[in-house]
Amino acid sequence: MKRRAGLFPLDLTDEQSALERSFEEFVERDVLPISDLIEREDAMPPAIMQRMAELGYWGAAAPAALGGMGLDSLSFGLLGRALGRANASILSLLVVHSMVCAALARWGSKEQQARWLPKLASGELRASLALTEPQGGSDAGNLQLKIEKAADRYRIHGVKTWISGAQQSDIAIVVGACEEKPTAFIVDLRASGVSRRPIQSLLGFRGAMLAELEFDGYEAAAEDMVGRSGFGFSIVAGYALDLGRLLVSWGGAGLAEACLKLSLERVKQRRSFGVPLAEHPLIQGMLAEMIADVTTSLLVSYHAALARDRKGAAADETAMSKYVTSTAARRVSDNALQIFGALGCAAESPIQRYWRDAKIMEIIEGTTQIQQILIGRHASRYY
Amino acid sequence: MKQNEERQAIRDFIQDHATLYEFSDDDNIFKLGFVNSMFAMQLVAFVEDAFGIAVEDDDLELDNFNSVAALDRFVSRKRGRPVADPSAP
Repeated sequence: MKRRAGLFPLDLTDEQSALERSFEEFVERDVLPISDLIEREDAMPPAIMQRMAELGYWGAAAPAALGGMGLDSLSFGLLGRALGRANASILSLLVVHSMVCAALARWGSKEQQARWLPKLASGELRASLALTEPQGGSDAGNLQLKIEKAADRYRIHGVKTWISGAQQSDIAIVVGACEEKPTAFIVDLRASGVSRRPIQSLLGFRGAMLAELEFDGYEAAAEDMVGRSGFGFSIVAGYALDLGRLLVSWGGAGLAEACLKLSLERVKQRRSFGVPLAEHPLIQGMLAEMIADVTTSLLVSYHAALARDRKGAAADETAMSKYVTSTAARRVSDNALQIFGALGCAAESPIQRYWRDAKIMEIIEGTTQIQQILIGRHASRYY
Repeated sequence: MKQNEERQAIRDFIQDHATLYEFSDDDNIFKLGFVNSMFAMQLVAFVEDAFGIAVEDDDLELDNFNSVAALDRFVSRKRGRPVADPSAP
């Protein structure tokens, strides 16, 4: 069957097209068959994590010289799109792991890169980004977690919450207030001084293995600081979130595409009042909205990826992309659920999972409102 | 790009993000609230892209990024040009 590429096919190199095909094969073969299981179990099967290691995906954001894939932003986006279609929880685990890889690759010392990146790239170790606190989600710079300096050591006290992957992650980049300045440290989550409380039964992203992390005197060494004191939030986390926004953007586009394609099949098959749903004008109206949303999502994600590779970081573009695609994914999944009706609400239907996961996408990596602030504040730059 | 053109390019970039404000080359753009702390990342990307320099871990000092003049001095240092001491009379 001819693969339809949408109204405005993306301009990909031969290598990117080959990667895209491999990503699609991966999700068809390895991810889609277990998506329901992930939802029912509220957990991620180790086998899929291992499979991703075999394919090298944990190293997507790590430099090739240190064992990673060193993917360009557009190629990485295509992986995000495929995972968004198949299972947003797996996307989430890859996003948070990759944000840490990207931050270390850009701002880690040579020693930190040599120590951590090969193992992160191979999947031997997995990582999370610990930024959110109970008192501060969107207000992420208002850090309550304290990092006290004592001679050449640092002691960490406080709580991070809603941390994706943290039920099982081996290390995390933790951002806290050190001498009142936002500072990032690599923390070994397996060491003493750290405890984890799993967070389960979320609305969406049920396999993303979220946890609350409590630090009670965890001792870090000076060489565990990432970047410099005072730049933990603005530079280290900021750089990581730039990638995170981009990947969630592509994941949202993939989720929306999946909803659209399932809806297009449904409206051909299902008849109502003697004709296929596809012939009902109100259904056509919904399909038009969905197609427009999917099209704009892919185009904005595409250009944000190109901008990120051109400039190294593209905060304006990734904020715009994340805002457009996550809100679009919510609308598209909403329309899909409306089209499928009761069938879409059934536990075995992927539509209800897409609907729940789309809502989560409006909250993670900066809420819709945060993206609006970022975009609106700089609106006069664009027009 | 000549040095005064570099300074103007820096000013233009910051002004582009702080469109509601007027500021001198020596004003601390973070302390005065013209931009938030996340803007530091965009400044790093800008100076690397515009001036072909690499910002490294050792360069992450707020004094390198907190004003037009500070950024201009930072870029000059990275390019190996002598830089006047801003505190000298």
